[in-house]
Amino acid sequence: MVERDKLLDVQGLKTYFETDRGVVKAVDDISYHVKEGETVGIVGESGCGKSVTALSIMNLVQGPRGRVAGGKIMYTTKGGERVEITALPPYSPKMRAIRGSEISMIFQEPMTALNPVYTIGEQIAETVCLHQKVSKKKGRERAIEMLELVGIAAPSRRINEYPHQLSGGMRQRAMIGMALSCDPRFLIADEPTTALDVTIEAQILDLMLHLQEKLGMAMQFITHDLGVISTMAKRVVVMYTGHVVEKASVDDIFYDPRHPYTKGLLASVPTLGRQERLVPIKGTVPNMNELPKGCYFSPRCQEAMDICHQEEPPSYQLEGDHIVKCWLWEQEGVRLP
Amino acid sequence: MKDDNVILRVDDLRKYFPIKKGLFKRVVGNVKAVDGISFFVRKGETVGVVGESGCGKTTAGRCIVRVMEPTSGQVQFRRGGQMVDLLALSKHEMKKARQEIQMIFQDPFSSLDPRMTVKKIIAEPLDIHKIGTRQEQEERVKELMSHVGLGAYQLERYPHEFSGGQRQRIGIARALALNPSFIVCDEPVSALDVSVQAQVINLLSDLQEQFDLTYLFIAHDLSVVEHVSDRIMVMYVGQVVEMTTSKSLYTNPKHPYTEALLQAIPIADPRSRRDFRPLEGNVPDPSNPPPGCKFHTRCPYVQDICKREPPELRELKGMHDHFVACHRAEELELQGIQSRTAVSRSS
Repeated sequence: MVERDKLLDVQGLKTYFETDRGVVKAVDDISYHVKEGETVGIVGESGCGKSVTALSIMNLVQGPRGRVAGGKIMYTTKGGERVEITALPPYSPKMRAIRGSEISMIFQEPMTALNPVYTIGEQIAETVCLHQKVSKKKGRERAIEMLELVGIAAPSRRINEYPHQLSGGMRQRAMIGMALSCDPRFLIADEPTTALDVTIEAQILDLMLHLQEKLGMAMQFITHDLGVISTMAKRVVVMYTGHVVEKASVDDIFYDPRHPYTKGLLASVPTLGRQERLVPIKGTVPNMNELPKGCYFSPRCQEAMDICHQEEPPSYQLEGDHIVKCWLWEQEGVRLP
Repeated sequence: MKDDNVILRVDDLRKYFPIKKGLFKRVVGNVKAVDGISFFVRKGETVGVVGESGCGKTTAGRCIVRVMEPTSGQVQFRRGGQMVDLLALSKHEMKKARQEIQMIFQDPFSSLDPRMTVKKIIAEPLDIHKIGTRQEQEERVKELMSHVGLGAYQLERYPHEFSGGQRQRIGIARALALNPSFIVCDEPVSALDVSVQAQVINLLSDLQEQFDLTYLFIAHDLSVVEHVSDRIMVMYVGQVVEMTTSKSLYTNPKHPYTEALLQAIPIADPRSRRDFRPLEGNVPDPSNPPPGCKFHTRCPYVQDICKREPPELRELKGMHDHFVACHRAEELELQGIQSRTAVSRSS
């Protein structure tokens, strides 16, 4: 593939945190890319590094304890310039220009992500004024326009309300409106519907699909919910303890999973209309301070072989764009460097 | 209904939280968290309760165990062949009754005392009810721990040394300590990771078989509820809108709200279909619900009568065990989930 097609290109990213009990490798040598206009889903359980990946892209990893210890993140801007995000200082003008007007992010809990002492309108207008250098009046107009875009009724009245006056679903809509106010080309959504009720979740997912179609932006959709992933993503990255264990199209992940962890996850979720016994993955996600030897999944793996307990597996390329990090594919797969 | 198998019968249960205002704390209104619900549970079955936040499912569960005192209603519970109204019991009598009716909580992080060892946590119910000597209690705790898949070597550890799933196992062991016949499970797996959630669901169903337990299983996740329940009750703003067997609810819903819930669930299958328009608007404020049917403000099938008269929960003619509160239940043709999984993963 031509490098230019990749809007975001994460190459061997390592994000480490110093803790009192040693270095935690929250993200450890992961690679994936997002093409223009497509949605990539990142799925995994708590502690797998999916949110830290997002913070690394936004260049918001908190120093001095947290740092990008290796690899790089390349981003192609509107003007076609390839920028190495990981090489930019977090508060440099260039990084600030990218954050917000090129790449935007929405979070799980809109109540904590929004500022309680400013009105919704002020917060959206602030973003617009900051990035697009327009007047306050223009910013306010843009805020109304955005609320209308995300389906909030009576937007000219709503912009004067504070976050606590809105319901959970409305707040999430307002946050999406804020994130999109500067026409970003890439949106990172970190569990945006996890805190919402199922009927409201459906509204928000629908809204996001609709906006993506309308605005043509690319998305990185982070979630632990396989149902949400299958609704939203075209390609899926499965993470476990800081590693990418499998990457494939959404159809391959659900119909032809190759990594024992992915298979285990799929067998763990109850499917509507089928009451047969679930097949859980045994054990629990290991503590990031006490990771097992070899493949981090080996103590829980049904198919583990001797080598799995000894050596970390490499990634293998299988047919199509299917990549799996597991020794089981030593014969059939092509080992990636 | 006369049924010897009924272990719990709830009749017109209500829980209102007064809204107080001003200097003299005058009551200016009520949040009707649970607004007249009636249902029954048969021995050995699992009844699921689903609904969105604020629908009153947790409050209902707590009122049944009397962790919270309901405003009015009856909770008949079978004890030694007799139906007893739990709400009419004195504090002392209720304490005795709690040996048979226990609860498992959602958050395994806040429902275990961080300063107590696992042994103390699990033995606490035995202590309170003065059952057995220290020696016997310790034996019982070890036995319970093995039932829920924990090792006796973990006896002296504290809650923070355990993962979420293991803590939920401790909570389950505690609930089992007094040999209850009925357990209210309030969102027991919602806080757990997907892979661990399945372990706990399987454990609950094994224990049910082993000890002949009856569950009231409260959850917001429809896939989980469908998986564990024999019958399901759907709640909306403090009331039951539909109650029937799992299969019937998911394949043949009769209430528009149930249909909307089923169509809204994100199904873990990229080939599944979703061409249903999601419900608009929000759940109404339970302190100021709309007149008539409480769902009429969001219902796509609303008619004039729905705005005026609240529908009664009634058993549908010719459909055994299918209760629904909708004026138009007979005429509407609603979609179950089979419309979405025309192509299934196994095919």
